[in-house]
Amino acid sequence: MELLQLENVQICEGASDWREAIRTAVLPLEKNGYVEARYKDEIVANVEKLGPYIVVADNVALPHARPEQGALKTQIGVTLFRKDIPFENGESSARLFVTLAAQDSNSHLDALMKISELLGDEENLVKILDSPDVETLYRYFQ
Amino acid sequence: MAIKKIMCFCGSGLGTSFVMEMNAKKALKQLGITDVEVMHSTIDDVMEGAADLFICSADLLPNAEKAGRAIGLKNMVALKEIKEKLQAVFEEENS
Repeated sequence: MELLQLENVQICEGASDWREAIRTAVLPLEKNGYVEARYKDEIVANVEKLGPYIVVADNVALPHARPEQGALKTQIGVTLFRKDIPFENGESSARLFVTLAAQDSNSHLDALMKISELLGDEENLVKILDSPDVETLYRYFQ
Repeated sequence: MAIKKIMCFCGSGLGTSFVMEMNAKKALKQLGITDVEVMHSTIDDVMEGAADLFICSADLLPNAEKAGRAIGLKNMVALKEIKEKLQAVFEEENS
């Protein structure tokens, strides 16, 4: 996938809560210049306001905010946590965080469709969640 | 009232809602339901009359129900769930 670079893929042990998990999952995109520093806080604020709408399936979160909330260039980041990250409603939790930065409303849609197809297949998802290392994780998204 | 317009929405209107729109279109096609417009948008556009049916994540369902008929999804990337729920709505409508 063109919109995913190996440098934006990471595997982490866990996070103290969902807020830290989101910030961690946005960090590579921030470090590499795809989003502004405020992007992660905008996502956290959105979730605080609207609930965990970013959890799109069991185990899968898609942290994202609007282009005007600090997305600079269209790009995707993938973060896999070894431990479950629970959200506050008590029902949602996730381990795979696919962070989305979209510079406009359209440029990321192809990538999103591929991600959706990839993760919509439960067998794929089980394999992805079991990725032993970053390179393997990255390859699943190719 | 016949369902002619479906609005899928999420908090930002560019991630989850788009995935739901794609899956809703696929599901309708598989169910043989035609002549239905499917679009995606943000929660700010959800109001009475904006669509005949709203689709969103389960946690946003109370917002949608204020505006009209609505479906709440637990899994937004799974075609199976959206297809089952759409089928139920359309069957009820035609009965």
